[in-house]
Amino acid sequence: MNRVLVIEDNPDNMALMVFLLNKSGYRHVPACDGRSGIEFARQGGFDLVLLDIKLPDMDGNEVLGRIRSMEHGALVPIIAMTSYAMSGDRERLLAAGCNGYVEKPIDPLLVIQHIQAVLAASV
Amino acid sequence: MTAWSAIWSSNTLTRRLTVARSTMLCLFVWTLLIALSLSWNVRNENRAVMLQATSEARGHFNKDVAYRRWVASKGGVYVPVSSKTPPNPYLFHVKNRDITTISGRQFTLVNPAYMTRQVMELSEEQYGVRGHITSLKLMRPENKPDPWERQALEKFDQGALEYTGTALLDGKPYLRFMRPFMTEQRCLLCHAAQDYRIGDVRGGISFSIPLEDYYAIRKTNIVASAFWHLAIYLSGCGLIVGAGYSLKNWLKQREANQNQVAIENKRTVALLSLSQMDASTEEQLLDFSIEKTMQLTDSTRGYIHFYDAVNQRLSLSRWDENTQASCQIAEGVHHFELAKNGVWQRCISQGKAIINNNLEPSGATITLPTMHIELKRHLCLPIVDGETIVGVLGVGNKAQPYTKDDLHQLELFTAGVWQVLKRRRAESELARYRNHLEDLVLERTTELEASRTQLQGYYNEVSGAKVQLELANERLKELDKLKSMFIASMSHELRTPLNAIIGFSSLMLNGMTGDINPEQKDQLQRVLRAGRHLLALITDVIDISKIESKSIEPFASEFDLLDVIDESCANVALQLEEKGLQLVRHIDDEEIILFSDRKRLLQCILNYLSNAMKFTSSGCVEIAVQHDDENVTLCVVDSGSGISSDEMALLFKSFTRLASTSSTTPGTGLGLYLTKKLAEEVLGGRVWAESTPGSGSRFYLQIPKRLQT
Repeated sequence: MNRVLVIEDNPDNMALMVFLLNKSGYRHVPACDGRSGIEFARQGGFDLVLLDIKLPDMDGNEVLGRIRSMEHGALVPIIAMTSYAMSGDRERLLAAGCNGYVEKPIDPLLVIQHIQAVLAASV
Repeated sequence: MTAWSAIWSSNTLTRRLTVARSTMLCLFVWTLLIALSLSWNVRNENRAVMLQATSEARGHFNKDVAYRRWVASKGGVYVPVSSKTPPNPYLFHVKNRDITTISGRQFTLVNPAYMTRQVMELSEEQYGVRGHITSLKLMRPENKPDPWERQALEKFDQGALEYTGTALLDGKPYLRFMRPFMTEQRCLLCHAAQDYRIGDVRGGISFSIPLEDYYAIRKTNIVASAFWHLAIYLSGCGLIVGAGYSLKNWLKQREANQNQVAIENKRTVALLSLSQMDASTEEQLLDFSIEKTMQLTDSTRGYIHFYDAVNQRLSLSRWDENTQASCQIAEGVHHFELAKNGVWQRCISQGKAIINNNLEPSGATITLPTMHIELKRHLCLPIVDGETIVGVLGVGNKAQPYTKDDLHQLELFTAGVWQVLKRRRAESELARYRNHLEDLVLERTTELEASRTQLQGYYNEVSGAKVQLELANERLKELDKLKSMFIASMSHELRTPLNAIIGFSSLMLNGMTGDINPEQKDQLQRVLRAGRHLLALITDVIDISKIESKSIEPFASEFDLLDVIDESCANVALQLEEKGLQLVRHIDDEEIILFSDRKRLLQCILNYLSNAMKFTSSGCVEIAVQHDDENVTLCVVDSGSGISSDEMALLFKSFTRLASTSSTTPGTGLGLYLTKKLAEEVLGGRVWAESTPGSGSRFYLQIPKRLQT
């Protein structure tokens, strides 16, 4: 059973993702800000990270950089979730090391499909 | 000056007179000297002649006396008696006066006197020297003294030892010489009877030496002397006259030089005065110059006229006072065309001075106009400034003819006068300019001061305005930053709650939270639709605000157009299914690589597809792609109600919803407007639409394959 680290500050969105992941058969670890997300990531044991880019304590890009700089964080698949939706966000995040990109508001079915695709690609 | 000149002139005159007098005096003295010398020579010559003659006479006398003494010492000598030498009757008392030799020859005693007489006769006969024994106490009557001899004998009685003189004897000149006989012991032998005592003057012998030969020599000598004297005299006269002449010439030359110097001095002083007449007017300067011109040339007329080369006109500026007083030219008619004024015309056109020394009515070389002032002689010359002739200066009626010296003086003086005039004119012109300039400067200064004050005002205003503007600019920048942050923030903050709304309602509708009844499903669908609509509205509004504030930046990357079309088709798949519509793709499978803003292109395609679906109730929506080397053109075709030509004009406008559809179809009214904006301003392309009311519409999007960033 795959473990997914969800880094998301908004409780409603966190609830949505948790429900969606559980329903889709994934285990999850919730992190409500960047610092705790990085801490969980350091402990390891995740098959995927869902990363909100707008976090209260730090920028999602920084979190991405920290995880990628960890010994076992270099290869873990990370899917960025953002509600910025500016031109170039997708390309910039993919170039920075994300394996996937989801725009909020999400379409639950599309998100699950995307997660499955990313995990399949990373095996 | 004039008085001084007069004195100088009288001096030179005196000197010249003195030279003549000195010459005459020298000649006189020389003549006197030569005359004295000549007379002295003649006298000497005479004396020499007399001395020589006397000497000769003395010789004769001494010789005779010697013979007499010898005879006397012998007590007489006996000589044969002859007719020429008869016995001396005055010796009758002497014993043995006559003797006869044994041979019978008869001798008679000849005493010194007798011998002397006989020798004298012989001498006269042979040499022309006459001798004569004479005495005041005569023994023989032949010995009677003539008057001269008597005179001499009387002198001897008084103690004279010699007596000489000249006399004409038989019409010929003779030196007469006489010496006395003193009575000696021996004399008494014969003359005892005459009662002489020893030492008495007994008588004398006179000799008459003919002087003709001496005179001939004297004449020759005198003639020679006279000749030499004449020669020396004439040479001396020549020298004296020559020296006098030279001296006279030298004085004359010196006088001429001094006159020249005096005139030049005069000219220099005049020019100096002229240059110092700073307070005078130009007329006064001209009058002064004319006066000096006349003085320099001893003229009684003078004038200066100026010439205007441009108009070829001569302005008769100034005459000397007399002429000006008697001038009959009307006032104000002092300007003439040059061509009408002969002498001046020649003078100016040839640039040469003209001298006329004969303007008398009889035989005048030029004709003067009637009413012209009397003019006997005339000299005029051009006033020259560099190469240009600026006027004419002239003088007239000098007592003597005008010479080149006059001309020379005038040329020099005129040049000086013109320099002074020119300088004066330049100075006054300068002064005029200076005054004008000062006025101008004052005026400009005032204007500038006013302008400066005004400018200062403006500057203060502008400075104030600038400060305000800077503040406003700062505020604007702040606002702009705020706006960008606001937009970003809004985008995020508005989307975040929609994530929960749309996400959960989607989950519930998908039955992931359990079964829901149809009524709940309908209600959830409304929630989901409203959420999506709100999301679309938010997205469009934010995009438009970004485009309109020019804060949108295209993000170009390389991608395959087919991927974008696939993604957009996937996006609308659910809606298509819900509406029961078919999407038909007229697209080849070959990839079309673009370099453009992928997200915005996707947005445009989705907008077209959404629109097409909205207005198509049944049938199908078609999408087609065409491309060439440069551009790619997408076309979305619907089979909806179509758009009337009136409404075509309103397409692509903001917040415009067509009346025909607004009531039946949901929409923000921003979709096409945003598509047009994105296509034109971000993707560098264009949009257009074609429609046939009742049978559907075609929406086109054409963009360049490579976006020029």
